[in-house]
Amino acid sequence: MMAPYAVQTANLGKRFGKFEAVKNLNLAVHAGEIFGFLGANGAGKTTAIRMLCGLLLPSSGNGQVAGFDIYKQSEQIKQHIGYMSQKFSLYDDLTPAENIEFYGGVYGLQRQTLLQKRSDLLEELGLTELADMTTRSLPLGYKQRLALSCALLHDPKIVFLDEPTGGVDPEARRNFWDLIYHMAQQGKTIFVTTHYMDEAEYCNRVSIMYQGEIIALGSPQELKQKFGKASMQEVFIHLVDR
Amino acid sequence: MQRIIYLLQKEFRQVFRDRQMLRIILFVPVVQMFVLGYAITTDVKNVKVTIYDADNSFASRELCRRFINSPYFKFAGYAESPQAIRMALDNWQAQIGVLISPHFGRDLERGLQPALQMTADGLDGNTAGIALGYAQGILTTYALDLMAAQPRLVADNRGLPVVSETRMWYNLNLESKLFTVPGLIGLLVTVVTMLLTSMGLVREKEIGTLEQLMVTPIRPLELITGKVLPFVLIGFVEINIMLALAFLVFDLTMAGNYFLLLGASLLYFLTTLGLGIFISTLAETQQQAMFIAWFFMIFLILMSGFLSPIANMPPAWQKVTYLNPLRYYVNLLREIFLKATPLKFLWNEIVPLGVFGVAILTVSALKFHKRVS
Repeated sequence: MMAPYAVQTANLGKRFGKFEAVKNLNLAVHAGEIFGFLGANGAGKTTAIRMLCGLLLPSSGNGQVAGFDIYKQSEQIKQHIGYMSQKFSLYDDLTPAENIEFYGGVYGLQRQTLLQKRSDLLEELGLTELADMTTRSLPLGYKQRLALSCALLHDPKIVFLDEPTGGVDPEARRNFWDLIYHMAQQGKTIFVTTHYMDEAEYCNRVSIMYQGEIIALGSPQELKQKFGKASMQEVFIHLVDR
Repeated sequence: MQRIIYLLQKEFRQVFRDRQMLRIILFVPVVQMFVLGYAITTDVKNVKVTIYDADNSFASRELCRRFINSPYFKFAGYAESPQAIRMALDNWQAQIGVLISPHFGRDLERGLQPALQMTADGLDGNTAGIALGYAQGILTTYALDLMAAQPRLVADNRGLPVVSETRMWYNLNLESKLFTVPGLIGLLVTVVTMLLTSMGLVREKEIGTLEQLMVTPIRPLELITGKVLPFVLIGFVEINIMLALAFLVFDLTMAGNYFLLLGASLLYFLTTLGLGIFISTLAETQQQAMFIAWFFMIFLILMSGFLSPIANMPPAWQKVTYLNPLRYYVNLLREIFLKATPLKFLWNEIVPLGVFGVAILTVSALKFHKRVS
């Protein structure tokens, strides 16, 4: 049976010793949705995302990603998700082409497909000219899009983005969100964390996390109405500074 | 399998692109071999000796002459009095003082077995013991020569009834480089394989690529294999460099089988690579990895019998060394290198080396899983 939701959790929790990083997380993300997972730094976003990606074992509760159980089927989950962290996770001393080749190989792409994809991607990212440079010397915006491309080489259904736009200039952030829309149009589910509230406006639905708990959930429109605020920025400040 | 090939391709691209690192990998063992091969020596030569000759007879002067001309001793001048010997030892002018009593020559003539006093600086007990051994040797030869020249002394039946003729097998001149250089190979590959493996994995942790790899469907075993195989190859390259140095610079010849030596090395790499992986699961930064690796290396090296003989350790610690894989590897290197010991006599070393290697690698591989802590 196919699960109706791309990501679903019930009372999911993670504790590190006495510290409860995530408490009773209840989420249901629809397939094809752009879901904004908001919260201040240290609110527990990264911990939650790591549990969903199979990088971290939960302490309590349940969860499914792409219909697979996060305790027992983390390896199946990994075939269906793409994950990009704020570190961009590229090999700085390799060229963009070599990074693509490596990650494609690790995802088990056929040699022919991989080579085709590599040249398509380099062109798409405007890196054909820069193909022989090391990734270290690329501008941050390029690195970010290259990292995303590497995480999507196996064409996953669900994409987890953990603060993908950290430290990137506004124009590059704008371009990146165009990419996110493009992916959503292809039917991918986007699960994105950010602390830029202008980005929250672009999401279909958002949740706001505070000290390990979700304190608000809904579309940006609903939340603004509910709290009587003009922007998500104000909603966020209203909720977090109570 | 395909994934491992892509991982290897990536690793080699990184190694060959990082010229600095490549130089370090190749250069460091060469320098260490050069310096340590000469520096770590247990040969005792040029022991400073002073003599107080209270007799000044023909016989005593002959004895002095033998000390002065010995290659093992460096004559630091005659002492003027018994007190002067003490002084010379105190201020490091001499390591051994010989006191020849008055009437030494006369007593010798009469067959009275005159006494000779030897004082040694026992601070470095090892050197002192060996130096006294050399001195004893000089006295023995002296006595033998004397008896040959004056057979009537033997008639007193107080001479040496049995004389031992010693011969050192496998290392005729007791040169310590024969012992040190093969052992050094064991030490240096330990450092290279263990440290580079752990740092290579921890570096990926630091830059976040390890986390990225953990969300891919790659199997932990594939990841580990891809990460450690390059270091196995680097380890073998280093062994060959060091063998070349041993032959060309230190004039050693390998008595035993080259491939047996490589086989033993491969078994030992299971241990060092396993420990490297284990360290990477404990450390979050490369600095931490270095410290933990250092912790292991100190024990491996000092408890291996490379520097201080295991037989000199307290009995309980001798037993502990059986847990040290490097002990077996250093033994194997020396056995194969110097004695050409055939395989059938080496199982006592090979079996534990293999068992430890497989166990350590298995435990480490199990501890290395695709989750973050």
